[in-house]
Amino acid sequence: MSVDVEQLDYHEIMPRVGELADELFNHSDPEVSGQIEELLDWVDVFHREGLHRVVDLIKAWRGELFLDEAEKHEIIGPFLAAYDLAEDPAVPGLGGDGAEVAPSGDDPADGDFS
Amino acid sequence: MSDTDQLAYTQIMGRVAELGESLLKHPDKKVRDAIQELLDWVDAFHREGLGRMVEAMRSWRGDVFLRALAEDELAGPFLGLYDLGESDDRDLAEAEEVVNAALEELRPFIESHGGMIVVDKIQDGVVTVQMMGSCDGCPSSNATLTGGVEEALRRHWPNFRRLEVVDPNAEDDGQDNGHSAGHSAGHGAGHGAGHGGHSHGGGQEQPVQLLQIRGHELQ
Repeated sequence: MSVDVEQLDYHEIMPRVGELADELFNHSDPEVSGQIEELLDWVDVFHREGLHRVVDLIKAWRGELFLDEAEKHEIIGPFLAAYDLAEDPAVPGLGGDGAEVAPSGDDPADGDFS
Repeated sequence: MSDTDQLAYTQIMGRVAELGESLLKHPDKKVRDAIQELLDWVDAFHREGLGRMVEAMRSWRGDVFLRALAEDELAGPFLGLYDLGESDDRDLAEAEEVVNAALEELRPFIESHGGMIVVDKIQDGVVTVQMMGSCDGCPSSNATLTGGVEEALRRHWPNFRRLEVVDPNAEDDGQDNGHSAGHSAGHGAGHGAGHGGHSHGGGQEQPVQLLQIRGHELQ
């Protein structure tokens, strides 16, 4: 048995998720659209709450500079931006508000953000 | 989700799993395929984003901060879903068992070439190995690792993110065992996440962007 593998750049993932979600939202079976909407809503809630809590704890540990650098990281930045924790117009979030998120910046020079 | 739906934080992913399983049983194969791919990419996006963040946090504040996160009622389950941050002994033992089982598949091949593969570290979904014996420096080692070890890890361990190969001949600089070639792939909660490319060990540069999910099984 073999498997094929699909590859995307990190920045291409959420647009692809959006395409698939649109396809499923528009399916003729209303149960599909209802379930996929609920699934994505819960996925959004889980990650939004969890990530916001992590960021709050980072701030409590005096991590503002860490977060400033994190926002510039090519993967962490868009990830944070998907949950409105950084600016990135390139990546749509999972939530239903159509929020968009930030392009990555340059890698920080200190090498901590690999 | 209706306006009245409420769940405790720790119940949310259980509900997501229920919905996913229901959708994956849909009679229309196109729906099933689209759901599977969507779940795979959602997992890949979060696993790699959070994984990179945890690796950066480990460099920033070390294990102390990650232990504080693990004890938090929201952050703990959040990181725990992806097996990131501070793992308890049982989780680590399970990971080691699964990783070793995956590598067992490759050991006969590697040993038939006079080599040996040794797990150096498992942390944050990153498996660090050393290639010993005639594998060390063998030009086929790279292909063996990317083609064989990664696929085995991907199949066996949903939390796998990346493979790093430590050079056993590199001098210990007090941080890590020298440079490593990084490779990755994975499959996650649903299935797959990882990235392909190269990196260096010791939490240094990892210019890898591509993430991959497992495609459909081929007949």
